Amino acid sequence: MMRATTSRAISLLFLLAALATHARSQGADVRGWVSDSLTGQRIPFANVLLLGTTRGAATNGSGFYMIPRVPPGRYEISASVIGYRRKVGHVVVEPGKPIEMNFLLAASPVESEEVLVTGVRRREIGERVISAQVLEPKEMKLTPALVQEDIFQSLKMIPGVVSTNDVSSRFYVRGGAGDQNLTLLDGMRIYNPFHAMGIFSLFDPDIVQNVEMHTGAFPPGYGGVLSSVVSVTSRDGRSDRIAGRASVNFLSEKLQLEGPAVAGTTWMVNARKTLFGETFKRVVNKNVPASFFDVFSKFNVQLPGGAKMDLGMLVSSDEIHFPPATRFIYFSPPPEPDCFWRTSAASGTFSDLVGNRVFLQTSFYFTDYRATRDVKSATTGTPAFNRIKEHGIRVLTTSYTDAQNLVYFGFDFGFPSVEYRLTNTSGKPISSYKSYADGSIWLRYQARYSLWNVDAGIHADFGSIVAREQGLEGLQPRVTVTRDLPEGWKLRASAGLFSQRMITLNDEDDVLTYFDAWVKIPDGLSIEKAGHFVLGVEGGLDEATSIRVESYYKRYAALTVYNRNKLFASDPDYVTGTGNSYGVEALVRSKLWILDLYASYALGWTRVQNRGFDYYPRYDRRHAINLLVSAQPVNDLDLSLRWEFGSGFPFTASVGYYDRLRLGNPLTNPVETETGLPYIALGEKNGSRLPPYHRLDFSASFRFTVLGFKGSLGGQIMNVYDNINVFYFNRKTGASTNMLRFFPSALVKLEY
Amino acid sequence: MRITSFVIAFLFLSCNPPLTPKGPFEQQLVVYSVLSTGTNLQYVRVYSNYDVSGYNPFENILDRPVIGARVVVTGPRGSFIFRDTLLPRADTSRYKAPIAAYVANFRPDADETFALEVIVGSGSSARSSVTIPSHAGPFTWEPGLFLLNDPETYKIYSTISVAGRAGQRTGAYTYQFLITFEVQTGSGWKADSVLVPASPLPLNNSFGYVGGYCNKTYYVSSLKSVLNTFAGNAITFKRFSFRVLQMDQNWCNYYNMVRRAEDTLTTRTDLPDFTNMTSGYGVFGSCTVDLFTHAYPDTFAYNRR
Repeated sequence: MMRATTSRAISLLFLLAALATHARSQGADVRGWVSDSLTGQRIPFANVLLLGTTRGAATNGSGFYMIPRVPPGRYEISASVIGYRRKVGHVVVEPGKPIEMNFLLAASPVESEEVLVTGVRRREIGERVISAQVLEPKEMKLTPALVQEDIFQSLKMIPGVVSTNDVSSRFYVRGGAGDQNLTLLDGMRIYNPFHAMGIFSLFDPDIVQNVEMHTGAFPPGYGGVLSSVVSVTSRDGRSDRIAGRASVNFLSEKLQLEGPAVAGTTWMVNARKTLFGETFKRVVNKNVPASFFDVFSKFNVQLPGGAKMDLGMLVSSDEIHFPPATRFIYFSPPPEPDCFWRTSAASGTFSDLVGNRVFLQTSFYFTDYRATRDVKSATTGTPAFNRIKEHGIRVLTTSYTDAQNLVYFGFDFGFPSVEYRLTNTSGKPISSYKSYADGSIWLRYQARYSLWNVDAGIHADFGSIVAREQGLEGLQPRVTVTRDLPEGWKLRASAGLFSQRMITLNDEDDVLTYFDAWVKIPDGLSIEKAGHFVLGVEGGLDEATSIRVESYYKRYAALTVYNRNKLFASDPDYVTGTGNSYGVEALVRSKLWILDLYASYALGWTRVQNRGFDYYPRYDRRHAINLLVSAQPVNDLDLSLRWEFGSGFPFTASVGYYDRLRLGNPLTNPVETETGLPYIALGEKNGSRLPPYHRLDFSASFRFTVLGFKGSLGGQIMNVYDNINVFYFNRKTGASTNMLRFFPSALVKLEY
Repeated sequence: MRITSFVIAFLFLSCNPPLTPKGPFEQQLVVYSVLSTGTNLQYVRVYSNYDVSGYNPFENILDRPVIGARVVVTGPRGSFIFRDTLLPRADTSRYKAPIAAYVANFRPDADETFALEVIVGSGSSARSSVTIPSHAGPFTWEPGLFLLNDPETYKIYSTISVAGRAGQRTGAYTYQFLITFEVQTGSGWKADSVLVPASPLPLNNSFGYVGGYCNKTYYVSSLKSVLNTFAGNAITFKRFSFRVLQMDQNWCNYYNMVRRAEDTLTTRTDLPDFTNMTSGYGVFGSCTVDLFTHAYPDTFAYNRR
């Protein structure tokens, strides 16, 4: 019965897609690609307008645009996007003859005002999708970060996104757990997107074309997680000449090479390696346990007619290696287990216009993630190993039905295998291995009716439906409605359903952890499910100030939580609970004198219900504030100051000790004469709060040109007032490890 | 100048103090008591929790018994006021002093409900209640009494087992097999007993039955070991007994909770806890001890005249 219903539903999806893509043409289509004039790089989210009309379109992620059914006539057509000079051309439309109009845009210097105040409002994605942000490298450069700009440092500026213990794949979005975020690089899922100690993400901004982040109610096409999506798109190598970029700072060194190969092809290789150890060893003669490297390479082919193929590969490695009996300047010296993380990922993408009005993007991807906890001589922890291998295919078609309407149809079929080996607390080795099929199909429709924009669709979590892990609730409707208000203000409402089949395991009662193991949700438990409801308004307070306010409510219909009633070994470790989170966020961007201001505030609550027991989960954060001030007092000099604050996460406090009797077999050992063993008494679950996380960072950068080399010289101070932000705490030993404290650094970057 | 002062003050004030995972310490009572139908003496041990300056609880080198508390157990036959007593400590590696406990002289019966109240001079108190499990049984021997009386004749049987219905409110049970005998010494006959090796751990009462088994070889070797131990003495084997102890659910929960670290299946690393005290820690449990006995015939082959 279920199988028949599912089959009918899928047939209906295909039928709807076919109907939606069958368009009747009255005039002719104007279409083409928008590219960087110098590098040949395709430019997404550029606006293409037929001047003097209300017709226009935005380029998609591949830089392609289409304005369907343009009435015959002669038109002026313009293409513009932030960071590039606007370009205007002419087209003559004749009935039934599609026009291809490609644009090559010349880059223009970054105007921070443009970025901060109006940047997001210009993007098509922001027109119809709620809680979405697109960041480009130009914007990342405005965010001060340790030593060099970083994607996740910039993403943390977005209200609702918080992170403290970022060495694991943890950032918390609107009350969601750290494992409820999907991070993609060119379609490859990255399970641990951070380098050791969380200072850098895996993604060097110099390889990034743009980052798309959805903090809630994300559209069909994204699935498998409950909270957020970070989709990173890498840029292509330069097509005009071979170029290089090298940089050295106190903590890392980097080399990037790129250029054209044979006609129509480009390549890029980017490698980074940590210098933690060398820097600290030489400067202060101390050891630092963290190290990493990453290598990203990309090869792409642009075929005649606009088709494009990309091959990308990422390899990264992280280590936290505690030498025995060593004192660290920034780390306490307890013997902790060593940890290793490895990520290898590859993808191949093909994109082209198929037929007259269907744009096709097909990706093959492969990911291999490994994490190891090696106890060695450590007195705490047990050995553990976690590995995820996944390969799959993702296909997205975009049908341009008319000037105002788009239909997306796609599917993603992956085959992950998850391995987890652990020596548990009783010293017994445990291993689990799950290999399964995952898949989703989606249909999405974007339309505009007068003052209304509608973005609606359905995302079918096909894999879980077929595996009978959920029923028809796996057909997840998602809708966003936008109403244009006077003076450019917009009112948005959005809702959607989401599910998740993989989670991370860690100790709910630990104060802080840094080793999370990914597993498939244990058999017999419901997969995690959530519903999002978002309401928002945005607009300009004046010419120099924009504001966006959003409120949200998330209902977790199923969450995997500890079985608090477990008494026997045969009882399950985990059960299904529920939860909810709600809050309000505000984002203000403004230009004041020479200062660009960015301020965000998030207020939120999250609760988890575990079989009648109600508590704040460990990722409940009440207040989060981000303040960014940047200035360009003179040409080529950028200054910025950033302050980040997050109220403390909850944890369960130790409230003393008591001696526990084992009360064993009274037939052989009298319980009256037994001596107990000490045990940590815990207070109310998550009834205490960690200290607030806050940090002030400062950066200055000066750009120069010498002997034909472009370069920049910069200095940064991380944690200006030397706040102690705890990275890890061992409840049993009292040993703590802090995040980096006051840390000045310098950067030299050269390009040719 | 004012701005500079403000900035400096802001920078210093905003620094977080070092994290401590310790919440405010509150004095709590720790109470352990298991009422047993198998003895006339019932004990209650009352302690206080403690804290140490660092994170090593073994810094606490003094046992923390609560002396002078009012300890009362009230049942259907009245209230029993416990008195202070000292018990020898089995393991003196950590604490040297004898165990301070409270004792009362009464024997609870199955199905009775008892309320425990501990009140100390400081005003703090702990309360709980427990109902004794019902008696187990009736029991039957398998494959039959013939095997107990003549174990070496019936070679096709390798185990001796006994089974019966579990009592109500039983969470788990454990058992012993005992051989009771009399040995003739210079001054007359002296009663003694020996255990037959069998399962030592409490078993989950999932199916509503309690039962035990022992290897017939162990049974025979136990009989022979008595003969060897008292070589040259006359010996009369009197009884073979199945002694079963049924834990109530509270004790069972506590027992399993303490042994979570022995959970070979778990992937969790948390610290479980269980108590049925209204405040504080510990457990107020109970057990029923039943004895199912087979009397050896006078013609038992292992008797030595």
